[in-house]
Amino acid sequence: MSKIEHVIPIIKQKTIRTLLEKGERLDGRKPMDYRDVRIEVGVIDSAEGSALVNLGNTLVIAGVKLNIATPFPDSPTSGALIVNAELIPLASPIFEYGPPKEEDIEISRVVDRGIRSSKLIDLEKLGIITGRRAWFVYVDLYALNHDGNLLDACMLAAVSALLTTKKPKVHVEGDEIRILDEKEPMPIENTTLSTTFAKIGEYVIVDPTYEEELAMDARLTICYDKDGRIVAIQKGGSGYFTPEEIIDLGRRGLEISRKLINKLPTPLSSNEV
Amino acid sequence: MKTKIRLIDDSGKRVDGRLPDELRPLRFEVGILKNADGSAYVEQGGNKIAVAVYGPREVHPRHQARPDRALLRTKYRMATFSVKDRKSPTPGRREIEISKVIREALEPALLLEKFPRTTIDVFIEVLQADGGTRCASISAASLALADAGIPMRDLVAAVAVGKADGRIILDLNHLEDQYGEGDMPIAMMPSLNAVTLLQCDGSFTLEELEKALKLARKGISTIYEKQKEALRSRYLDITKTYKVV
Amino acid sequence: MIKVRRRYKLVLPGEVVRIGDVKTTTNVIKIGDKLIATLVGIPKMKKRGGENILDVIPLKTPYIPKEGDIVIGKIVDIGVTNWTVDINSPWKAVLPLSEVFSRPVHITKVELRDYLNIADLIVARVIAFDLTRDPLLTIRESRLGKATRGLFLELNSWKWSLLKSKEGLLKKVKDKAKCDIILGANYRLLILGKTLENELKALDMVRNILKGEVI
Repeated sequence: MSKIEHVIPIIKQKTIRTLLEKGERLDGRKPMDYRDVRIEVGVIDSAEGSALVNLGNTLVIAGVKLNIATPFPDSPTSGALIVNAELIPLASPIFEYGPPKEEDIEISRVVDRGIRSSKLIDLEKLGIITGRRAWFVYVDLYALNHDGNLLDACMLAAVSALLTTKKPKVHVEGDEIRILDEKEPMPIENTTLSTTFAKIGEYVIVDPTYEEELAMDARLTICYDKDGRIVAIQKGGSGYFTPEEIIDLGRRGLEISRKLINKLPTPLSSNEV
Repeated sequence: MKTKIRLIDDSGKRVDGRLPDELRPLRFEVGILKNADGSAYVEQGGNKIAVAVYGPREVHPRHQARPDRALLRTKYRMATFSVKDRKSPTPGRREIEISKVIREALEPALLLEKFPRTTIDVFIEVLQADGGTRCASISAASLALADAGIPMRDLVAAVAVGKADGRIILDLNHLEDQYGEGDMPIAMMPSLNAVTLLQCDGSFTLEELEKALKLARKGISTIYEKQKEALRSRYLDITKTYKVV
Repeated sequence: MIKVRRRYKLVLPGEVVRIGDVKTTTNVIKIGDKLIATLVGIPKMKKRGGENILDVIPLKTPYIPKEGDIVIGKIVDIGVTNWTVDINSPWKAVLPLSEVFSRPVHITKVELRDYLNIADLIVARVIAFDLTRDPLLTIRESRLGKATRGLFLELNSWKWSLLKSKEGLLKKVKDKAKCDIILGANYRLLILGKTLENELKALDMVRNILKGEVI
């Protein structure tokens, strides 16, 4: 089947809506139930940090690679963060290899926003030689199986990988940088995760499956940091939310994120590295 | 500039402790991806590769379809974090060539005439690379195709043989690939004694080529058994209890 | 009744099923006097027209349409005089206008969309298929047509085989849940009841059958 046929049968859409009237979902969850999350870190040896995330049947992998490069001219003492998400064909018959499409780019940018706004990493601590050399942190995400809510899964994977990344220590002597064998944790200052809601008719559910996404009118993703502050928001889809709905979801998302945050790995300490 | 590394020590052991005719630890898993029609995962030494198969399905754009058989399309890609120095997400010429030779290694095994005007798409993603990725990919792709129910004459198993410190060695790892004297990836349909992939770079005499093919044959037999084990274990769960019509 | 666990011999592609001169289906190829499996499956001797034919029953296989098959299809495109239907096979099927109405219909007077729209599900019969062209469908017979309600489930070939072999259990589900269950040849299931409750009850029972539990 190709992309064209990935329309959900009309009767299934009807069923989803009818079930929601009774507060039920196809997979037996209640509207505000989040699926099981399983996170495994350190799965890729060639990466400095990595994480494999199972969100229900959605499977996503993140790899962190560190590189020393020239800092951007407007931030000479800072390192840089580059997030790149790829929805590859392994995950679904609707994906193709090729230059990033808008879905790939949206996920990349929202994950980046969550990490950056929460100041999860203190990029200032990643500068090496002012104006000349700094650590560039690449977070690359690959979808491996798509059953909805790739955004939350990618966020969990990216954050988990960063929290457990082993950064090489460097020794600077004047103009020379020596990369040592010794490792240290990343400068972690915060944590973040996202909760994504889907609006189907007048009902809102959290953590939609693929079929629920096909049936939804609009989507709202809210990212929180470890203190429960909202650090990023993204509305998606061609429907709408009322301001009251948004505030309500902000509250629900906070509740859900407090529980979800326990699934994240604890940041590495210097003796664990 | 190649620095001289001693790849085989005085006791005949390689850098990872193996003997010249030893395979790296190898593990296959079939049916790991739920949305694909067929899928498989392989770990061979430090290689970690996932393969998805879709099809047979319709060809887009339609004019590319063949009236007499299915197309086989293969895409081999490496994740940016699969190698020590982050790789650009854009596929390079290496990946494009490898995609082609993998396709040509698998094609002779498939009975494509059964599905005219369709395509069978094989997607390979290397999550971690450690030498011999195209060979591991072929072995895993063969399993993914079997998992998808694509009819075939035989499974295809592959391994890279090479030369290090004058000795012919089996299943090159990354170091041996980079610093050795030759690299020869070989794929076969073992039951039919048919070689479907053969490449070479380095320097081999005719005798060495013969030795290499023999050694590859040995390694491929072992890989073939492991492939079959993985397929059996996947399907035994299904057939164990129920009568299948 | 004691349930007996039976282990069947599994063959893999490239493996010799048998040696000898026996007729085979296309799932088995002949190389010399060796009969070789081309799929993962269970070898079985079938009788066709008095002859013994060796087949391998694949555990996983794409759905290949056969004339006469009842299938559950999803409309994916609308043409000028036909609909394109996804029937879960490598080829998309065609449902011509002439196979929808029992009387001849004037094309310009008909807005195809009004009858069958994208994402509608139909229960149809395959009236023609060969490898040179796309499968042809009809919904003109009774018991065929557009599904206006119901629960739709996509199975795979082995789950479908399992349900097919449990006709008795399926009848039990139909009676208990008061639903009609249409098991399409294309590994798709449609549960039709008067209410969603009935349909969900039937779905639950079907899921239990698949898990091997008592219903």
